[in-house]
Amino acid sequence: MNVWEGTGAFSEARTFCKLWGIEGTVLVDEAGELVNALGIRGVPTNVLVDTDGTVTAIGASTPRELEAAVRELLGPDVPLGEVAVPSDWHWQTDAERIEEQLSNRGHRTPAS
Amino acid sequence: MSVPKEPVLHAPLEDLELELGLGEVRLGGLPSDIDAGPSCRVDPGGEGGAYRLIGEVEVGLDPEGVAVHCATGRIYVACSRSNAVAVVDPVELRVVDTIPVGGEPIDIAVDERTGRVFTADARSDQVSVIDAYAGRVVATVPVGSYPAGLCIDVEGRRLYCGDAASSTMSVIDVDGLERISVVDAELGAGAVAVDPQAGRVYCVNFLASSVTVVDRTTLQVVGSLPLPAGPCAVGVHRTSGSIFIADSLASTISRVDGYTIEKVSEMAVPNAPVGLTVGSRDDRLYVGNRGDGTVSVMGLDGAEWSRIPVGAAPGGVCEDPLHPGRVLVANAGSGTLMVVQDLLDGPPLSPVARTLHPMVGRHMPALRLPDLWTEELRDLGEWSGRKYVINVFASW
Repeated sequence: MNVWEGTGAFSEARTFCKLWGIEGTVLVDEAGELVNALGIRGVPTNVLVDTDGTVTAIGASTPRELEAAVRELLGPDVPLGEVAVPSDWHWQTDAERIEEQLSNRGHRTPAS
Repeated sequence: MSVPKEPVLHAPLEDLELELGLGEVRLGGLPSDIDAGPSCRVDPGGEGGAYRLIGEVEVGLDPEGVAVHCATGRIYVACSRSNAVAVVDPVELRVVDTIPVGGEPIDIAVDERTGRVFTADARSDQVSVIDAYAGRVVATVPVGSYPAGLCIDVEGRRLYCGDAASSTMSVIDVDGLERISVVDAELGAGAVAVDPQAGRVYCVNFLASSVTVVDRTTLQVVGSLPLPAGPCAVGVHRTSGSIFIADSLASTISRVDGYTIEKVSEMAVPNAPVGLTVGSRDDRLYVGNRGDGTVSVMGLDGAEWSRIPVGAAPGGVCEDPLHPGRVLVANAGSGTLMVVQDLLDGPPLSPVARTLHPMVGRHMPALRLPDLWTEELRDLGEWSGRKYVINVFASW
């Protein structure tokens, strides 16, 4: 869920998703409807929702917090598989790709 | 009747502070048909008197960096998505000027000697130089790709600039306004801090998750240290020679011995710290938690003294040099500058209370929002009957 872009939300969010390899459904909340309804005050934030639509957690932004929240949501009997955070987890980047994407990120014309 | 874009306060800020009552109050003097709303509010304080919210003013799109020009007392806010700097009068707490700069100014720094204000314009690969008295850009200095952090070395007459996509740190002669050196850092080079006493410059590398340590005189790299994920702000505690680094993706603050370049400790903060400044009282840090909408007042030992609710997705944090304890916060999500007074003399008697988010246990709202790729409206009800996670993000 993309929020608070301020300007050019679709363009900015698409560039961002390509840059970081984000796949899956992305919705755009330009007016902040969802974040206002949920009382979300920052990004990144994760919202975990149960089958009946109940919010079970808000926050859980680090991988370990998210893993713990997902485990709680799914229950002890459901394996997380590749969702689990490896013990040696560290931020992984494809340096070359990121560097190229950042450099080509669109040198917008400054407002005049 | 024309409605002004910016709220106008008709009483000096210092007087307003004395008139506060309980709860949120409206400021006197506003025309009755203008809602002061979130763009301009004051608050008597919270958390048992640990802080006081002084005011909030709309400044522009995605404000990130904030700095004060002491000679005029004015506050300069880099509004990255507005490609401009908002100049805020600290007494009336309103925007008195908007100065266009390059594309996506992220960080900002002030040189008191010359009255110049510098912005790191990420999408223009330059540093803009504003004359604070003239109120306009007087020069631009080309730097590396995607400049994202600035630090002024007043005594050394240098400006350091982290060039994120070039993996370098540019060194600019503050008086000659030219780049005089380029130091190798690592990918995501951004925030910079200087410790003149230790003779070192620290450049944190967001994507490489590291800090590069540079000799202030020779500009040679003297070391580097791996850090938790996403370091993006750094401050120097001069008394101890420690540096404090906000690890945004790990939600920690790393304390590093600046002399030995070894990690001393790691402190937990609420969520996604992206702003950090060492308090002038030498005993605390102010940390902007982008993921939490708060500023944490932290003891140097990692204890959280208070947690101040500010605007949405706060970024840059700075303490007003003219008013000790007055913290200026750029709220990227709400497009505002918030002014807060830290009222604590020292560690509080009771720690910050941990509470569950009030929406936990409640139902998701029914909403229809457009799909990023197809732009077709989609109903959140599509996911009902399943367990799912929504990641809320912004591209900045």
